[in-house]
Amino acid sequence: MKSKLSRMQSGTLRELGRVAFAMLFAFAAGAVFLMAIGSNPLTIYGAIFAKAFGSFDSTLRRATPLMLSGLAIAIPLQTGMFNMGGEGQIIAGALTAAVVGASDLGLPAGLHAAAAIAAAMAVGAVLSGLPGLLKITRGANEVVTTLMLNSIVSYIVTWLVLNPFKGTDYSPQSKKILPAAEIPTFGKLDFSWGLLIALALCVLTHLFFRSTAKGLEMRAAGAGPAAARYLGINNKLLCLLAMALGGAVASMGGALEVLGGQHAYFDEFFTNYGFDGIAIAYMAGSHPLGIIVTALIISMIRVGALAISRTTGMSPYFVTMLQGLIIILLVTPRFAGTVLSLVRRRFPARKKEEGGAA
Amino acid sequence: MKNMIEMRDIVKMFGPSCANDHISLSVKKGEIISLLGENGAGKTTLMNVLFGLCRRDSGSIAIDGVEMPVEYSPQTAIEHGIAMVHQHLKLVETFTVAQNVILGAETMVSRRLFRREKCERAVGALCSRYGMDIDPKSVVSALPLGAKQRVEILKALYRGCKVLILDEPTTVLTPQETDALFDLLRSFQAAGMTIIIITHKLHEVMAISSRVLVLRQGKAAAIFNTNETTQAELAATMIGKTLVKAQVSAQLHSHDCPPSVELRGLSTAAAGDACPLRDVNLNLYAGRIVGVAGVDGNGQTALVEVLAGVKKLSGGSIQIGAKEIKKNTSGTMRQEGIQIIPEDRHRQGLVLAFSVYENIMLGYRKDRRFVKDGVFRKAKARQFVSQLSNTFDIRPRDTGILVKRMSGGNQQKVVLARELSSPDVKIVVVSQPTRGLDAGAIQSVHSTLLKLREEGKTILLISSDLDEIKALSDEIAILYNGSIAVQRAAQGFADEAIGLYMGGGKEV
Ligand SMILES: Nc1ncnc2c1ncn2[C@@H]1O[C@H](COP(=O)(O)OP(=O)(O)OP(=O)(O)O)[C@@H](O)[C@H]1O
Ligand SMILES: [Mg+2]
Repeated sequence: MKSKLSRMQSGTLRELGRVAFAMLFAFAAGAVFLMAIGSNPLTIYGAIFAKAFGSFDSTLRRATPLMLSGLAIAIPLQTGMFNMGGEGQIIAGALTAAVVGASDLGLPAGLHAAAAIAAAMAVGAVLSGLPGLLKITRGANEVVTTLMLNSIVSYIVTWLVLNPFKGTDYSPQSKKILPAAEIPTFGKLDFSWGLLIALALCVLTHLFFRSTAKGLEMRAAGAGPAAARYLGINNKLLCLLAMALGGAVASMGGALEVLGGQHAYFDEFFTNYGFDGIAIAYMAGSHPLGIIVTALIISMIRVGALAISRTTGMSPYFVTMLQGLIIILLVTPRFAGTVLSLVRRRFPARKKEEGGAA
Repeated sequence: MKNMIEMRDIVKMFGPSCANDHISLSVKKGEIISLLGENGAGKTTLMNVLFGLCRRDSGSIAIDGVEMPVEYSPQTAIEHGIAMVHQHLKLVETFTVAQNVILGAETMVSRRLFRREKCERAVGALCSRYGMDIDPKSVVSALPLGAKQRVEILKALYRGCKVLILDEPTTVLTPQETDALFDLLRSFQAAGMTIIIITHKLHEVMAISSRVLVLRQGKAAAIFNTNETTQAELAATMIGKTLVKAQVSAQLHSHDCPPSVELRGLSTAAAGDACPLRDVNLNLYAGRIVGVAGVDGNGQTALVEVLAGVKKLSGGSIQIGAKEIKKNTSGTMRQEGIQIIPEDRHRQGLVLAFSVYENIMLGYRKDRRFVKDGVFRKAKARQFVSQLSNTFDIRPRDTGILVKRMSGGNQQKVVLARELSSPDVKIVVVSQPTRGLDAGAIQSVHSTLLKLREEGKTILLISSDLDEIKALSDEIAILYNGSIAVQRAAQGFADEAIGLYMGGGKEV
C-alpha cells in the first residue's frame, strides 16, 4: 500500500516536473528570441507576471472557462474520441446562455442562471453529440467533423447575434441578461461563483473516472476496445456519451463567462478559448486535476499578454508563440531526459565525487 | 569451438524485483539451446537484454568475441548479427510480406528508393533458398499465424543474422507447423547459425536443442545436456517439485441428461479471410466438458466470437435453458452467465494499459459486493482482487502493476481469475486457455476447469492442443471448415479417427 502511494506520487511528480521543465525551457527560448529582436526579456516577462499576479482575480475568471474547455477535450479522450469542436461549443453555449438569461422566464435568481446553464449544456451536447453519432454509425472521423463544425457554428452564431438576438445597433452583441440570471461575483473581485462550479466539475470528473463503474467502462472503451466488447461493454454508446458530455462541458464554460462576467454575448470574445483547451488538456496529460493547474498557467500567460502590448508595446501574439513552444517541448518525448543526460555527460566528474562520498 | 554468445553474471532489476539474478549463459557457434522456466522466470527479459531492448544493471555480454557496451540498441545488436522473434509478433499487418521484411533495412535495396519488384525478388529468393512456401506479395494480415511467424524469421534472415532468438515460437503453432519450424531451424543450424529458443514444452526442448538452461525465479537453476536428462527432471528443476498431471476422473457420457446449451445451425457472414461458421450444431451439458478440436482457422475464432456476442449471427440460434437467443449481443450473453476466455489475451482478454486491479474489476463492475450505486467499494474490491491474485498465483502479487508489464503467462492468469471467479458463472467458454503457460500454470488451469465441472458448470473448451482436449473432455467435437464434423464421447475416440475428421475426412 505504502509503495503504491509513493509510486503514484513519484509518477505525478515526474509529470509535473516535465511540465515545469518544458515551461522553463520555453521561457528561456522566448528570452533568446526577445533579445534577438532587441527587447529586454526581463521587462516583458516582468510585465506578464506583474499583470497575471497583480490582477489575479482576472486570471481566475479567465481560468474558469479554460478549465472546462480542457475537460471538454479530456473527457471524450478517455474513450478514445477527439473533440476538437470546443471553439464552436463555447460560443454556442455562451450565446444560448445570453439569450435564455435575457428572456423573462419569471424564475427567481439562481434558478434562472441554472436554466441558462442547462440550456447551454444541451446545445453543446448536441453540437458534439452529432459528430459522435456520425462516428459510431457511419465511421466519419470526428476530428474532421468537429473541426469543421467550428466554422459553421461560428458563422451561425455571428448571424444570430447580428439578427434575431441583436442587443444594440452599434456592436455585435446580444441583449444584457436579467439580474436573476447573473452569477454573483465575489465582492468586487473579477471572478464569479462559476469558478467554484468549474473546480467542482474537475474534481467530480476525476472521481468519476477513478471510482465509478461507468468511468472504468469508459476508460476501457478507449484503452482496450476489443476487450471491452468481450466484457459486454457497449463501446459505441459510451463514446457517444463521452462526446456529448465533452460538448456540454465546453458550452457550460461559455455560459459561466456570460452569466458571471460579460452579462451579454459579445461576438469574437471567446476566440481561442477552445483551442487553448487542447493545450491545457495535453499539458495535464488529460488528468482532470492537472487541468486545474494547467488552465491556471495558460490563463496567466493569456492575461499577462494583454498587459505587454499596453505597457511594453510587444505584440500579445508573443505569448501564443510561447504557448506553442511549451507544447512542442512537451510533445517531444524524452526531451527533458535527453537534456538531463547531456548535462550529466558534461559534468560526470562531480557526479562521481558525490557517489564516492555517499 | 568458440563461443558465439557470452553472457556473464547478468543482473536486471525492475524496481525492487529481480528479473535476472546473476545469470550466465554461453552458447557455442552453431548450437541450438533452449531456455526453460516458469511464467515470469525471466526468460524473455534475459533475451531482451541480449537483444539490446533492456539495459542490463550489471554483468557483461560478448557477441562473437566482441564485448558489448553497457547500453546498446537493438539496431546495434542486429549489426552484430543478432535477431529476435518476439513472443507476440511485431509485423505491420497491412504491409505485404516483402515490405515487412525490408522495413528498417531499406538501404540494402537502394540508397534512395524503395523498389518494390526488387524487394519482392530478393525476399522470394530468400524463401526459395530455405524452402519456405510464402508469397512475398501477399498481405500479412491474410496469412495464418504460422506463416506470419515465418515472415518474422525471414526478417532475421534478410538481415543476415548469425544468432536467432525465438521467444515461445511454438505456442501458436499446430504440431505440424511446429515440426516444419523445427526442420527449418535444423537447416539453419546446418548452415552455421546459432539458435536460442524459449519454450514451455518439455518434449520440444528434448527434440530441438542440445542443451537447456533452466531458469527459476530469476536465477539460473541448472543447465543440462538434453541427452543426459529426462523431461521429469527438467520439470522438477523448473518448479522445484514434481508435477501430477490433471486428468478428468471419469469421462461421462452425455446421453443420460438433456443439454444445457444447444447451438442450432449457427452461421455467420463471411468477412475477410477468417473462416465463418457454417451451420454449427453442438450440444453442451452441465457438469461436462466438451472439447472442440480442429486445425486452427476452421472457425474456432468465429465460434468464440458468436458465444461472446461480439459477432452477429446470420442464422441459427443459441438455446440456453428455456431461453432462445437469436440476436446475440455481448450484454445478453453475459447476462446468461457465459464467461469467455478469448484466444487473443492482449486484445480481447485484457486492457494492457490497465492495472491488474482494473482489469479484474472490469468483470465485476455490476457485482453488488463491490459496487454500490455505481461507485466502487474500494476496500472490498481490493481485498477481493488480492485474494484472486493469491488463488491464481498471479506474479507479482502487487495488483496495482500494469498488465503490460507482466510476463505472458501471468497475463493469462489475470484473465482466468476474472472470468472464472464470478458466482454466477453458468457456462464457460475457454479458447486456448494454456497457450504460453508453464507446466505448473497449465496444471492449475486444468484443475480449475475440472473443479468447475464438478460444480456442474457447462464448459466448452476450444484448443489446438489435442493432448489438452483428450485429457479434459467428456465429449469431443471436431470443427472442420466452419461446421462440426462430429461430436461424440471422448472415450474410445481413437487418435486416427480424430486426425481423419480434422483433415476433413470421414470414418468408413
Ligand atoms: N517492463 C517491465 N516492468 C516491470 N516488470 C517487468 C517488466 N518486464 C518484465 N517484468 C517482470 O520481470 C519478470 C520476468 O518477466 P519475463 O517476461 O522475463 O518472464 P518470462 O520468463 O518470459 O515469462 P513467460 O513464460 O510468462 O513469458 C516478471 O515478474 C515480470 O513481471
Ligand atoms: Mg516471456
